[in-house]
Amino acid sequence: MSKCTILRSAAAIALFAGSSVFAQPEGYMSNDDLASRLNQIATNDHASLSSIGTSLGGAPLHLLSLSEGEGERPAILIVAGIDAEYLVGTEVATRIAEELLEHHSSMLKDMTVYIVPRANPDGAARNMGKILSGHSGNARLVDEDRDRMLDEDHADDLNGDGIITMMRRLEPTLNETPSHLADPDDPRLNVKPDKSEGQRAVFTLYTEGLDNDGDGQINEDGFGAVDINMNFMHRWPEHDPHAGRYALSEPEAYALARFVLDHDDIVAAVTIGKHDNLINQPDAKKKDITSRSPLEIDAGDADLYKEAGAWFKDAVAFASAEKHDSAGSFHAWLYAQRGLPSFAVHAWARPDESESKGDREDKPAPKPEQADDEPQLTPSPVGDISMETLEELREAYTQMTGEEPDETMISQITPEMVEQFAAQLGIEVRRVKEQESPAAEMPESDKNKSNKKKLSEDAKWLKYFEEAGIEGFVDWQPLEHPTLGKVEIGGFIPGAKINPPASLLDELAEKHTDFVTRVIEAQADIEVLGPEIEEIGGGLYEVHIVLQNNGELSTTTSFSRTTRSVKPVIVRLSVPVDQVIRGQRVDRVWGIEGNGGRSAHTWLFRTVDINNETITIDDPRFGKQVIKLSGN
Amino acid sequence: MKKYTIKNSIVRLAGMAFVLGASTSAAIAQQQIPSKVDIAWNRFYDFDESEKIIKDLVKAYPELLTLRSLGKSEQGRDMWMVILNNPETGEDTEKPAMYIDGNVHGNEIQATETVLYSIWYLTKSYGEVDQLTELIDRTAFYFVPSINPDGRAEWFANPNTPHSARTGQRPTDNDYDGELDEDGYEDLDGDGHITQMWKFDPNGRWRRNKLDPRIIERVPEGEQGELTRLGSEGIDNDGDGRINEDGPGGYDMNRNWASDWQPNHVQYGAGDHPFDRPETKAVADFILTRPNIAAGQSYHNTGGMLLRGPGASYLENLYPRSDRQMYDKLGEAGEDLLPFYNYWVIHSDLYTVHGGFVNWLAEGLGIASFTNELWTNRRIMPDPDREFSDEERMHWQDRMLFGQTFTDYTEYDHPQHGKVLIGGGTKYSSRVTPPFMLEEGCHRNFAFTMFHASSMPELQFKWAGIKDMGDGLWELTVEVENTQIIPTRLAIASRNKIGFPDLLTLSGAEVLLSGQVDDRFDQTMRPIKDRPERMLIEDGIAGKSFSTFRFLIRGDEGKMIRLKYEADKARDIEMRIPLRERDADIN
Repeated sequence: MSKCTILRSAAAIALFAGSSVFAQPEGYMSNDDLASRLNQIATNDHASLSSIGTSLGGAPLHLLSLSEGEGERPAILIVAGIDAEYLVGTEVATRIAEELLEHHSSMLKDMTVYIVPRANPDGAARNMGKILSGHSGNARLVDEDRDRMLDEDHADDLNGDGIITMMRRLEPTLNETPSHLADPDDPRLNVKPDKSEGQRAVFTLYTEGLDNDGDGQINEDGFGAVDINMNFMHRWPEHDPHAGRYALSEPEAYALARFVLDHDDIVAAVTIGKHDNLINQPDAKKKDITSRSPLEIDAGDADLYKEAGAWFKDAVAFASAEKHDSAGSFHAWLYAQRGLPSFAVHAWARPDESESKGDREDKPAPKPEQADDEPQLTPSPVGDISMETLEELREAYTQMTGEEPDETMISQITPEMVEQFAAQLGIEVRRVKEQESPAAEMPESDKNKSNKKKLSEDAKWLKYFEEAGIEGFVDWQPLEHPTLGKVEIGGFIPGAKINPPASLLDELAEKHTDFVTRVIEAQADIEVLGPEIEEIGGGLYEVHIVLQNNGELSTTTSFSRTTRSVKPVIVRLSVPVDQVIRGQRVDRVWGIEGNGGRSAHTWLFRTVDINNETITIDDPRFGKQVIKLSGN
Repeated sequence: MKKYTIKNSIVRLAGMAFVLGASTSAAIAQQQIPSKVDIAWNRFYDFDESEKIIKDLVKAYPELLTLRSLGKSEQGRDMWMVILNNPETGEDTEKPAMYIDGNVHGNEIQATETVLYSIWYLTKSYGEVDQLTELIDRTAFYFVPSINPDGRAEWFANPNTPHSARTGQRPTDNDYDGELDEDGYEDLDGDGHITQMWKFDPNGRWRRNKLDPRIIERVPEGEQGELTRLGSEGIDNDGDGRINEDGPGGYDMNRNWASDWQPNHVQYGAGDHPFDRPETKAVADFILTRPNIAAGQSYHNTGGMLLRGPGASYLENLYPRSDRQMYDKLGEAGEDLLPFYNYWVIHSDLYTVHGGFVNWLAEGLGIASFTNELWTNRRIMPDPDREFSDEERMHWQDRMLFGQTFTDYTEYDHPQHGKVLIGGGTKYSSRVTPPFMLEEGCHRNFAFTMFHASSMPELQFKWAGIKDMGDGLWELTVEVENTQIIPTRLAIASRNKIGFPDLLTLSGAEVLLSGQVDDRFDQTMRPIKDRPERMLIEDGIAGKSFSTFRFLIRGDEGKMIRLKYEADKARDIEMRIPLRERDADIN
């Protein structure tokens, strides 16, 4: 029943004992390297190293805590390495710790910084072995083709170069329809035929490997794992084989969730990895299936993400970022259910897509309408997939199965699933371009040649690899395959589009540190104004206090006032409740807006001696203070 | 394969009974089979008493029962599970099994007695009642009498309302004041129950009924009232001006399961994540090790309902038509066995539930599951089809229950509200079966659940035909039948890729092609060419139905071949036949 053969990459066992030139990305830290570097960092007085748990494979999930001095204070959480292939995130997160300690240690007096640099060490290890295969997920074994045999058909390094790439089957048999051809502009690339140009598909594509279990499929059940970023509660994609048996079934996801649930001091989080919600602003209109939680964010928090998005662009100068469905991800849960500002960022973007501030100002505003020659596409609830594509899929499904897909299926479908189905059915996925997304803008280099065909993403990568002298691509080489006959093996090296050369890491980390320090600087800062006490006579008093937020950001997200998952500040008056005429004896503050936002509290009460009365402000993040009232 | 027949084991058991001299005469056996453990079914058992009953039963019937603790509750009580299985007919994991629990809501107490009754009745019936003996020999049962031991203990031990102690007992800050469980109920009048408080208030909109002062009624427009409702019995313990706003616990373990789990702002009481309570985690961990569970029942109270999922309207279409038809067959049978019970769908007939237990069983694991809401007040009325007035209800309460579930209103000097009236229905009123009717309720629900259990899939090879195609090529066609109502794979499972597809394997000869065909006369098929000796059957075998499979085989005449059909939720079957022309039923 495996439908997704060619789409699933998988781990590999070498058939040839060829020595590998690429294997472990050069200059990147293995789990051991990371442990020693973190130990080194922890020699600093303001850093301590511990762990939040253990991976399925038994590796520690390291936690660096940075803070200076004693006392309660809020904290920022930085998490990287959830997505196994995104090794660069760990490199950057580790260096952020070093940067903060070296250059910004004064900030650590007011803010704790928690860093989990590699939340999925087992997954990372699988991307650093002898064979580079591109592997997401953890060490949980999944019978991906559900044939009651586990991981029996993995990828195989047929040409012995230590890398799992792609195979072009040059002479497909008659029961297999060719799907791709070599790009006439650059024959190294595979493209789908453009019928308007009279193109014709000539080969089919597979990942490099054999039909190890003789079921006619290639690599359909390799090292299948659970994707940690699909194992959290918000929009958990229940029946996806990579989502885990239940939300938080995976020890890595559980440890992260537990850490957050146990730490009321966390006021914001930055997740560095596969997901992005700052370059691509999150959707602030749509609701999830219950209609009581936002799909991505609540409208009340749109400004927060816009502001943080601007800080991030200023810091890193990325022009665009790939957007992935956030169903079941860590960062989506942090926002939608924990109510925290949760920023997801890529560690790196291809330089040609980066831009300086000056460039951006020169650019024309994005066109409000799509180009005339492109048909207008209708947005759908499924990411950026168009309604038109969903309709095509629905028809194809109905044809195939003889029944209409039900609404539940449609409501649970993710863009990744659409891509897989569409690939099997040979349907082109047409996407709605986000008007505000810089990704929709025309790249700088193409501005003057708008009549000429745009470079495809893959072509841009090849161009970049050549210019930067990076070995990111394996040229196609012929090989006789035992079941597919004549094939060519080659293509992009797994991870090459994700993890930049190690020489870039220090600079990248500096940029990310700029963003992190900006987030820290903007945090809420509460000042208590008052008390003002007015004696009315007869033992009656009116008392006012105001909690004022002098920071830029609100103390909590707007949506957390709905989730009530961030503990409120509790303001308590000592006067017995039956002597309070106005005001709540126990009052709760769910959030105070930034830039001078206030929470005002007034009580009118009777007391024998005002000097015995107090107001207690108990803030789970900033600590407790007791204000003694006194008469004139 | 371990050869197994029902007859064999009955004979063996009857033999044992004879040897032991424990045979009972037919006259006594008829519905009066003694159990080795005497249990009265006209009373309720607190957690400790129910624990003793469980242990006594397991001790008395060691050949059928195994005791196992799934873990500890929040307060350290054992989560007892009783596995009922006859090892003579195989391990429990080899058989289709039914999971049965109760009392996830601590106050829904008779759920536990219903589970205990089921164990008690089955064990005493083994070897005595043919239908149940056959059922026990072909299936296994996992019983958890209470999956909320702390809630049960609390409800019995302390004054409560009919609705309190629904929660588990993990201290929880329900009013967000930073304190845990600091303001619960108090039994102010010391009668052992938490009843209602009414404040004397000339402007109140309620008054006592003149004929029966136990009834408090709304005042008609324009008339003088005397009372204002204050809520349940208690005081303002934490001085915040509110009464009883943060009692013990304060969450709902039947909203803590993995399918369609939603956070607290969508689903009250859901917890921080699925299985974040030790009780639900313990149960889930066990269930995940038993893909052979084919049927599920979770007893609750109240209202007289047989409920199935889904719990939310947007999941309606998650239940494919063939599954709905199966549920209808079971549910309608239940309505017959349980007078005044309704077979209902949770979200459309009752209310929305996210993260419910039977929803997880059905939607997450593909198990045919029901929740029975035990007891309906209509059972005690002479004409259950008619709505009764409060006066009439009180009349029947008096005549039938001798007023035992009602505390008369008495005056009390309340620290915050001055003079108040305290009284009303006790914790045994409204939700709990009157003890004299308990046994009947247990038995009727047990009978339905046994029908449900007996509907779990059972496979057999029905017919096989072999044609000699010449030159050593043979065409083997085989019909595999499921004799029961529940399919080997629910459609919800095959559509959503839950569990494993069934697997039909042929060994002993070289298989060239294989495939499923419409019927034995079908000439064509869409053959599997790759690994054709292992045929994966995603849809399984439907209920009360059969499917037909064909193999093209190369081998010498007379060679024995072996066919094996494996399914998660049915007992595997296996047969050997020689390669030789045939067209005959399998017996």
